[in-house]
Amino acid sequence: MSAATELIEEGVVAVVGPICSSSVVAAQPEYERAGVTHISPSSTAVVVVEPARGTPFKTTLRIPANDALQGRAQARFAYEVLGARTAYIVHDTDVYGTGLADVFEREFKALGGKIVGRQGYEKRTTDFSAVVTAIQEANPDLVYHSGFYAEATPFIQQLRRVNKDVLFLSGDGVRDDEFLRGAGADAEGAYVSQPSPPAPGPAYEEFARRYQEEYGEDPADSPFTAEAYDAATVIIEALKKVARKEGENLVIDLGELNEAIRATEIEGASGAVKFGENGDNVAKEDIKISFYVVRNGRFEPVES
Amino acid sequence: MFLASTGFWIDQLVNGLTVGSMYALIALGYTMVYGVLKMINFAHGEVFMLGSYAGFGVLVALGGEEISGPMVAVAILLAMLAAALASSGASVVLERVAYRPLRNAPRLAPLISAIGASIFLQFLVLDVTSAKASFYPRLFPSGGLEFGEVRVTYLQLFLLLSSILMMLFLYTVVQRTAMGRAIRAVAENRTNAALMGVDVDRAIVTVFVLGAAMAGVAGVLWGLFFLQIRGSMGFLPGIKAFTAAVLGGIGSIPGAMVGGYFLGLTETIGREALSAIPGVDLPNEWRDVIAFSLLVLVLLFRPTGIFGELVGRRA
Repeated sequence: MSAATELIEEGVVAVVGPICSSSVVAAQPEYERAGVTHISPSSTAVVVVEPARGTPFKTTLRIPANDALQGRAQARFAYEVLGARTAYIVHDTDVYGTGLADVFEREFKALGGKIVGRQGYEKRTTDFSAVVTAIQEANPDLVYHSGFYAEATPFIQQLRRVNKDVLFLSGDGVRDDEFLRGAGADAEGAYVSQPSPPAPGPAYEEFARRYQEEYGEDPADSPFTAEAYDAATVIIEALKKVARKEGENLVIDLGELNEAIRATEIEGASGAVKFGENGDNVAKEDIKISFYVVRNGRFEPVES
Repeated sequence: MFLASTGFWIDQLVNGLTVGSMYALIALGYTMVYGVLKMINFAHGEVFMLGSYAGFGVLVALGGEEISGPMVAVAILLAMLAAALASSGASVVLERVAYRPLRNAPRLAPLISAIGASIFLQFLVLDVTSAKASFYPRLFPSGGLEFGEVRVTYLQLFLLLSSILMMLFLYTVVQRTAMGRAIRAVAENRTNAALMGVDVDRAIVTVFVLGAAMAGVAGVLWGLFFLQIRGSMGFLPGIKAFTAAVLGGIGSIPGAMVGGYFLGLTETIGREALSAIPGVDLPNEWRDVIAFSLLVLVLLFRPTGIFGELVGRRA
């Protein structure tokens, strides 16, 4: 919230961000009032485009696919590919974690699976011992986690202390190097999903090459790098259309910019970008959800 | 609703005692400082965090995950020592810079100063570490002792025992030494103690040192158990430990210990116990609601906490 206010006061005309859905939900009224378009490279919660007030926010846009898609694919993956029949859900209580857990629970049950327990946790939780003991008692085939790596790391470490065998499946919030580095050997065998194709077209390769040059690491090691790049590209493209010089001053009409951004379509590094009426990227609607498994300290794509 | 086995409850009991023992160690610092200064040292959570980082530094310097055999015990002892020293050092500086100049100011002034110091230290470390977590080496074998269907890991056992030893040590210092007597005298009445020739400044600094040493050791135990540390890690345990101190009766040393265990247990077992009632199914998010409701209940009936006495006696 304060970051949004700060940016607006700075006179920023468009924003790449915020990162997580809770921040988008907190910041979107602020941006809407100021007329500042913001494109999240990573927010995926359903509530972002279906806010409590009813009408979607005009200035809220996002690149990645809606969680509903990921949750459905995870349930299918858990049931059909991993063969899990019972699952225990552990989720962050924010809009992202809860939303994803809701979708997973509904879809997993619809396939014939059984949810044997469900617990939420607050961010910055480090003590998962009570949750782990409850999981031991319920003895599920699979532990489903929706949340972020900061909490997934202590969680999986405490889980693996007592249970080496139970399947572990999480979402894109966990697909981060920090998770591998922090959880070490305990991360081995964990499955994570990510709604973005593993090898997109030439636009991605060009981006990956330039990213490597700039930061010296593979962009695939961190989540949402290509999406952030695309969000910036869309804004820059739109700016080229609406920004004009009046004497010494550069004039950018925020309303025009918003319309121009919404109308911009690109073939980006993360795939096609085309905004729908509610701010979702409609090009993602038939996207493939990729699954990865941790092997030898890396995320390896799973062919499914 | 499933019916949980006995093993399940005993496991949860051990979980609660484990985290409770760390709350208890941290709570001692809050309660002792309150005892002598009638002030809440809100930067105490950060003192705990600094200790955790100091211990981490020692473990990494000694080889991290490469440490093995009897060196593990030596390394952990050294880490605890370094943590106790670092935390005590930080606490002495805090007392000198942020609290002593305000000792005779209105009571809100040192409180605000403490909150400021807390935020300063937290963000200092967050900045230095780019807000990234650091990871303690895994030094404990994963096994444990089995008692029937109950399993206590070596790590949990170590945590429980070392915190109890630390508390016994502290209790002995306060009850059986000349310095302990001075501390108790200052807690009872600072002016009278000074008139009787007690070096008040020295007693107060000792209180900060002792409390911080406990928190520093707790920081190492926390790192060994949860493996992940970061600049913001002191905030929640700090608040919890403060709660434990109030629950036990702020100012009372045994109170802080009992309060710590009590809070740890209600956190882990409270929700499970209520959920075992047919028709009740509380999600995990309720654990703090339950723990803090219990706190309010206890304070309604015993406003001074479980042990409503002070290190000396409340004025």
